[in-house]
Amino acid sequence: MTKLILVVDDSAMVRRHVRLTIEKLGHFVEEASDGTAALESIAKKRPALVISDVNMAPMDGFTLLSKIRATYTREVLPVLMLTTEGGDELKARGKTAGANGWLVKPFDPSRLGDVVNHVLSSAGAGK
Amino acid sequence: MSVDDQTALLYVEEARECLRDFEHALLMLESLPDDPDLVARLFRSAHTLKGNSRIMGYDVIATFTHHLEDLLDLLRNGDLMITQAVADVLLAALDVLKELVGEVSGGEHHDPARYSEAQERVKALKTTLRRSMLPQRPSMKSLAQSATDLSFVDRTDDEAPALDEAQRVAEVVRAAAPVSAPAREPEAPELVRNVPELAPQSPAAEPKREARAAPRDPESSSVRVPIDKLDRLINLTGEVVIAQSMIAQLVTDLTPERVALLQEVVAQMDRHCRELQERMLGARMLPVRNVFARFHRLVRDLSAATGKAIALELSGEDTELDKTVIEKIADPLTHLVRNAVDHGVETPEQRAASGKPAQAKVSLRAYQKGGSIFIEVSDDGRGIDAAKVVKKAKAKGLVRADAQLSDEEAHQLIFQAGFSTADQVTELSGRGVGMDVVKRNVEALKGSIQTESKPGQGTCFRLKLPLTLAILDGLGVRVGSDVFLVPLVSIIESLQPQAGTVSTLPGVGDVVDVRGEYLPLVRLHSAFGLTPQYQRAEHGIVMVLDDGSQKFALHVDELIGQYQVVIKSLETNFCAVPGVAGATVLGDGRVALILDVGQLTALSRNRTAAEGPAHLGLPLLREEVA
Repeated sequence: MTKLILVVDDSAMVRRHVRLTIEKLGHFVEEASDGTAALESIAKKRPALVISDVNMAPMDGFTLLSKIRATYTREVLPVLMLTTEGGDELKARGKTAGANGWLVKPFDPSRLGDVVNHVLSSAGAGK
Repeated sequence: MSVDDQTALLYVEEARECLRDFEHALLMLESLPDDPDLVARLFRSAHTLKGNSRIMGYDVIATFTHHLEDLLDLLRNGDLMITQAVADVLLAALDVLKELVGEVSGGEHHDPARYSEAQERVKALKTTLRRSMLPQRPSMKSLAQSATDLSFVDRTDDEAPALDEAQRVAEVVRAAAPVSAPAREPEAPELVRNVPELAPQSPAAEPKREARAAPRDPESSSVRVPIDKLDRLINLTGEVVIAQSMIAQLVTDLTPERVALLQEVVAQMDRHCRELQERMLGARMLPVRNVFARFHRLVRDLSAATGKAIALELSGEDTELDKTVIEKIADPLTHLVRNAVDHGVETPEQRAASGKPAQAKVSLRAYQKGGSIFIEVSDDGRGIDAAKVVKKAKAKGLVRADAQLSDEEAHQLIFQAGFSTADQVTELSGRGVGMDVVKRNVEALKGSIQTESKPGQGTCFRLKLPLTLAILDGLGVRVGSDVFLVPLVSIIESLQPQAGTVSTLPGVGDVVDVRGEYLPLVRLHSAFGLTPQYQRAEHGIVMVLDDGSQKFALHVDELIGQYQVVIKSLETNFCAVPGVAGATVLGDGRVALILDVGQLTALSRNRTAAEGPAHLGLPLLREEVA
């Protein structure tokens, strides 16, 4: 089933790359370049999934994540972090903050597809 | 992993942006070493570059940036203070990254020797620091994290552990050539370039140095437009389409009572179209910030090379210019800044002797005034010695030995080809080429240069540039049955000369007396070999024009009206025509040629040369039409 997915990254190149990957799965993609823009887009478009970078300005990915979790649970609006860092400390922090998953760049497009579909279906089932 | 061309293009654009931002933050950090925001910016730039390079599969760049990031981590943790030595290492690393990105975009080839040298320096600095900090702090997060663990959802991370890193880098360097394969040029000049004592004397190496200071942009044909600007354009386009369909409907079934409605819709569409045009042009506009930013680095390097203490002041960085102009203005500006440092600014001893602060000031200032953008490059140095300039010009035969020149005319001489006042040819500028090229480049952008200089106080070069190259405000004039457009910026006034105000001066040609000022008279019909309605200027109209260096009068039959037109190039569609800057189609479908005001006097001189030698007495400061 076609869903709307919000891709948050300060790099237009990464957003495009993720968009092309996700559109191949048959989903729609909305883009935002930082946390502030992402929150606006979430309020307006109600995406089914957010895929967010960590390192962004002015609002970074962790701040975005905590703001999302203040309103939506992991089941209602899943968030996948997609970032260059893969440190345990950060991943643990992401998990605690309520991320549904942690992906490290560079990502394998088919892997990303699997993860997206998996998260979407389990979120749908949990509702 | 396959990415499409658009993504690859975005990669290069963003990589350049990251490097620019990195350089800017680094240079700022030198004067504000404690600013955490700047360190964060450095980090983010490097980080984005690393991540993006990995996605693209550019492992050489990713690995190199990764090392750089370790160093930045030390900065961030406060284990490392930014000193000039540290900044030098980071800047050298930055130069290598610039070359690597340039290579990816197909522009240039990086120098493996420099790559490994910079890599070594980054590593050496890191190692020194690590040894000096005991007990070792766990600050190498980015190295520690490279383990192959898959956390709660994800991934196969094949990043090598830290110890293998060095070996990997060596391999990567060896394999670097395939990033873009073409045969490398001979190594010799590169090696010379790397030996500081030899570089200045080697003319062959010189152009390369410059090429590195201001990297060429082989990719520059795309513009990034903010989404909100684009959205407004799309909205407006929608409005135009709606208005158009309303008109179409009204016209198919037009009754007298609906004419008023039709007029209203047409007026509405008119407004939308105009706004659309303006916004469309706005999408091409970029702040001069990007061009200005590179001068921090340039002045820093020049300052170190000459031993002169120089502060660079920038203002008006948000002033917007057409993208084409922005790209083409960087080289002339670079030259002017080099020139200011090399010739304008005195040595610290000289400055002390004349009671000036030891640190000299070079400023770049951009601002908009009327339909033009001005960029000033000024220094508080020794100023231009007009007498010396004139003496030199006379010695070189550029002006007659008995010519009397005003200071302003003397200043113009430095833009003559082959002119250089430097007693010695120095490394930085002073190669006797340049200022004439600067002038030519600026004029190619339909701009002009003005020079102001006070001996002992400094020099200011003021560049006047058009807001945009795509649209022109012009006055339509008629000669016989032909219509020409005169750029509005060049027009001072238009008048009908009274009988007896046109006369012929021996050696000058025809002049017209405009309230006591005698201006050379150019007849548009004789310049283009046309048949005018009025042979005598007193019967037609005379326009007083400024071609950037002098005023002159242009005789035409009639003024038609003001137009805002889109310039169509004659050169690309036909060929270059002297005196004509381009062509356009007027509202009624007529084709009008746009006059190149700067070439008209020369053109007219050439046309009338057969009738007798035209001679303006003064040395001709403008370029002759070849």
